[in-house]
Amino acid sequence: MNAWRARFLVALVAVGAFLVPYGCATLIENALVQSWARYGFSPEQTREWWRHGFRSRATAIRWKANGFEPGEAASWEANRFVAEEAKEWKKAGFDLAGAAEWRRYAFRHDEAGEWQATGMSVGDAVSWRKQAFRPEEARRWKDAGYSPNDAAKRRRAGGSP
Amino acid sequence: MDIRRAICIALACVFLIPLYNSVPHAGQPDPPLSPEEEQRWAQSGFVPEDALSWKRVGIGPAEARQWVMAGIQFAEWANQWKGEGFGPADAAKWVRTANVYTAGEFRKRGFSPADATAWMENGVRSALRAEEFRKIGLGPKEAGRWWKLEFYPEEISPWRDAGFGPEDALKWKYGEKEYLDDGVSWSRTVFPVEWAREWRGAGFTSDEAKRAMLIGLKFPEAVEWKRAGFGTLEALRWRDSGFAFTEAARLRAEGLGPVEAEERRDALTGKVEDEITSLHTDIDLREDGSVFATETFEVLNRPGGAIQGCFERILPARITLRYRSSSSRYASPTYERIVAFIDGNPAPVDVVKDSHGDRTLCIGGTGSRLTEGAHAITISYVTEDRLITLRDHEEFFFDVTGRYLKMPLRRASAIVRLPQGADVVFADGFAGLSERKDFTARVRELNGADVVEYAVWRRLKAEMGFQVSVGFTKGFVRTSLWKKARQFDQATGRLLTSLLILLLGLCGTLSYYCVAWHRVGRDPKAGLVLREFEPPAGASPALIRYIVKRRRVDDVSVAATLVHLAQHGATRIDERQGAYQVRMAGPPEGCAPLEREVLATVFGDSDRFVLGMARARATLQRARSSMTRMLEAEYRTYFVSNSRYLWPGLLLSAATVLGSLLVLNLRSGGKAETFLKLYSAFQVGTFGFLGLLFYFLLKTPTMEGRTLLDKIAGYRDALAANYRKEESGTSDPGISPFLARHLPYAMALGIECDRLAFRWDSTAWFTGRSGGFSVKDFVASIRRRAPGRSESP
Repeated sequence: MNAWRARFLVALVAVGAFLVPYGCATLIENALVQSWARYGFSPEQTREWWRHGFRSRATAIRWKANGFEPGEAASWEANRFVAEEAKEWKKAGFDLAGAAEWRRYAFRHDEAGEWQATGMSVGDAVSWRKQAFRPEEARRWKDAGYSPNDAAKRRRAGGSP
Repeated sequence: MDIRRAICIALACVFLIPLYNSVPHAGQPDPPLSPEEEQRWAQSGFVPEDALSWKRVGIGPAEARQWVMAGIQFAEWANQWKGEGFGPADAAKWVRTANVYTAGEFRKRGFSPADATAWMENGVRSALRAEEFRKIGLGPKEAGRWWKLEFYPEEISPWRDAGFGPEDALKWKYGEKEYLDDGVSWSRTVFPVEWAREWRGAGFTSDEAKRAMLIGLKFPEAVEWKRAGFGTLEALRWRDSGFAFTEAARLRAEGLGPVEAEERRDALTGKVEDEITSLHTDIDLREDGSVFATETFEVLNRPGGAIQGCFERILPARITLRYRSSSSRYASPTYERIVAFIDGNPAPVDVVKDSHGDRTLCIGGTGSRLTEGAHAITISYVTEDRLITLRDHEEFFFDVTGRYLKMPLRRASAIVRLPQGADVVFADGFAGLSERKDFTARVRELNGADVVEYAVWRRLKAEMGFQVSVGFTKGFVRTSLWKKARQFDQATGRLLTSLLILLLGLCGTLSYYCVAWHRVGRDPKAGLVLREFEPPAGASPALIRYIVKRRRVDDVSVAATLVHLAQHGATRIDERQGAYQVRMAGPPEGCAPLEREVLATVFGDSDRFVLGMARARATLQRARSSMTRMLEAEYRTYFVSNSRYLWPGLLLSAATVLGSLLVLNLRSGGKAETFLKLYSAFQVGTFGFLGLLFYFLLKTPTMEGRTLLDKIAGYRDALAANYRKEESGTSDPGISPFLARHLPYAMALGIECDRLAFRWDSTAWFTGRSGGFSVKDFVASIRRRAPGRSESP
C-alpha cells in the first residue's frame, strides 16, 4: 500500500469514527423525538425536557399534565415531589421552598395550608401539632397568650382559651 | 426507466408531498368587489376589506349590519352563531350570557337566556347538567348548592327525598379522608342514604352515628342508650364496662362513672383473683431503630389465682404494625438481652418457644413459684422492627400488653422516648377493647428529645389491650442495612435465610461434585489408537456393542451373537421366503461364556426356532435378559460408576433442601402454599439435575477399560476402512474372507454393511436366498412379528 492510500484510509477512518456514532445518535434521537411527538411534545419541548433531566417520557407526561414546565418540574422533582403532590402544594399556595419546608416536618399540603392560613410558622405549627391541636384551635389558644404546653395542660384540665 | 431513477422519484415524492402539505395554502383569492357592491356595503357602513370577509361567509350588507348591531362584530364569529341556528336578534340576547356553543346547547334544551344565566351564575355551566337538575325538580339556586358540593343529579334525589340538605348530605355521606402514602391519594368511606336516614331519624348526629359504626354499636342498641340519655361515646364506655343501659343510668344517677362502677361491682362480686395492679413500660426508640423496653409490673399474687408457678410474660413472634391510616404490616421482631428482676433482685429467665414461635418468659425460672403477696417485677429487653417508614413521616408502633392478657390490669401507662431531634407528628394508639382509645397522651420535651407519656384510664381485662403509635418526622432513625435485611427476613418468614442456605448448599454441593469429579471422575487419557485387524482379546461382539452403545442390549446385539455362534459352528441360519430359522448345529467351541449361556437359553427346550414367531420372541427376550446380566458383570471390570462418591453430594443436597424449607416460617394461606410448592419444586429440580449430571460425569473407565476402548477404536477403524473399500471397490459379487469372518463385530460396531452380499459360498453357516445373507433383513426379522407362520418352514 502506498503512502497516499494509507493516509486516505486513516482520514476515512477518522471521519467515519465521527460520522458513524454521530449518525447513529442522530437517528436514535430522531426516533425518540418522534415517539415523544405522539404524546404532544414538539421537538423543541422534547429537547427542553431532556435538558432538564427528564429522559422518561411517562414522567414528563405526568409533570406536563399537572401543569409544570420542565424547569419548574425539575426543581420540584429534585426535592422528591411527585407531580400530583407538587400540583396540590402549588394549589394550596406554596412555592417549592415553602412546600419542602412544611413537608420536611410531615405536613400534608392541606394541613400546611390550614396552619399557614392561621398565620403560624412551621415551627409554631410543629409545637402546637405535637400537643394535638388543630390549626384554628391553636390560633385561639395562641391569641389568648398560651404556649402549646400550657394550652395542653389547661385543655386537659377541661379549660378553654 | 431504470431502477435508480424510479427510486429517486419515489424518494422525492416521499419528501415533497409532506412538504407541500405543510405549506399553508392561501386558497383562491377573493374576487374584488364590483363598484356597485362596494357602494352597497359602504351604505351599510362597511369598508371594502370587512365587506369581503362578510361576503366570504355568505352574509349580505343588510344582515351584516344586523349582526354588528347585535354586538357580533366579526364575520367569522357571526358565521358561528348562524351555524348554531341563531339569528342576529336571538344572538343579541345570548351573546352576553355564554359563548356560542354553550348558548347553542342551552337553547337546544329549552333554556331562555335568563334561565341559562341563572344556572351558570350558580355554577352549573353545562346545559346537559342543568337539564338533568331541572328534570329532578331543582331550580338553579338549589342545584348550585348541591353541585358545589360535588353531588351529581342522579345521587341527589334519594338524599333530598330523605330530607337532607346539601350540607347535611355531605356530612352524612362521607367518612374521614384517609391519605395514602403518596401524600395525594386518599380514600374515605361512603355511607348510604338509608343508613343516614335511620340514624338521623333517631336523633343522632353524623359523628355519633359514624362512631357507633366504627365500634360496632348496632342501631337498636344505640337507640336504647340514647333513650336512656347516653351519648354514643358515653354509652360505649358503660358498655365496655359491662353494663346495660338501665343499670348504667341508675349508676350514673348515683354519681358514678363507668370505671368506678365497674370496680365497685367487681369488689362486690367477691371474686378475688390475681391481678397486675400496675404496668409501666418505658420504651426508648434509638437512632438505629432498636427499641430498649423496660416493663415494670406490680403484681398481686393471691391464693389460687392465675399465677400457679412463675410469673409469665409472653413476647409475640409475629406482630401487626398498624398504620394510623388503618393499614397494617406484619413484623417478626427479635428479643435480645432479656433481663428480669423480682422485687429488685436479679431473677433467672427461662424462655419457652411455642409452635407459633411466641416466647414465654418464665420469670424466676421454670420450676419456681411466685410467692403470694405483692411483687414488683421488672423485665427489660431489646427489640426491633417496630417502625413503618412512610413518605413524609415515620410511625412507631408498640404493643404494650401483647396479645394475651392473662389477668386483669388495673393501671397501665407507657412512655415513648424518641431520638433527639425527632418531632412528634401525632401520639395515637389503642387502649381497651378493639379500636377504643381509653387513654390520654401527653407530649413533652426532655433533654432535647420528644417524649410521649401515655396513661390508660380504665382497668384492662381479658380481650382488652394497650398499644401505642407515635408518628414523628423523618430522618432521625437510621436503620443499618444489616438490620433492614434482618427485618425483611423476619417479615417474610425467613425467606432470606432460606435463600442463603440454598445458595450455600448449592455452592457446597457443586464444589463437592467438582472436587469428586476431579479426583475420581476424570477419564484416563486416550492412548495411541492403532489399527487393529483382530477384535480385542476375549471381547465378544455383544460386549463390544454393550460398550459402544453405553450399556444397551438391543436387537443388533442378539443378531451379532447369533451370527457369531453360527460362525463357530454352534448354530446354522436358514432363510426361506424371508423367514429365518436358527437351529442348533454343533458344540459351541471357541465361544465366549456369554455366548454359551445364550445358546443354552435359546435352545433349552427345542433345537430350532423361527425368528418373528411368538415363541422365538419370548426365547430371545430371555436370552437378552441373561446377556444384560452377564454383560453388566463384565462391564464393571472395564468401567467404574464411582457411585459412592455421589452419595455425599446427594446427602448434602437433601440437607440443603430440608434446611432451607424447614427454616421458612410462612403464614398459611393460598399464596404462601403456592410459593412453597414452587420453591420446593425448584430446589428438588436443581439438585436433582446436579445429581444426574454428576452421575454421568463420575462414571469412568478403568485402565483396562481405557485400553479396551482404544483397541475397539483401532479395530473399528480397520473394519470400517475395509468395508468401505469392499463396498466401493470391485464388481465381484463375493466378499473377502476377512470381512466375512469379522461380520458379527462389524454388526456390533454399527459399520454399514447392508449393501454387501454374503453369499452362501463365503458363509457356510447360512443357507437361503441366492443373493446371500442380509444383515439388515436378519436384524429386522428379530424385531418384527410374524403371526400365522408355521414353526417349521
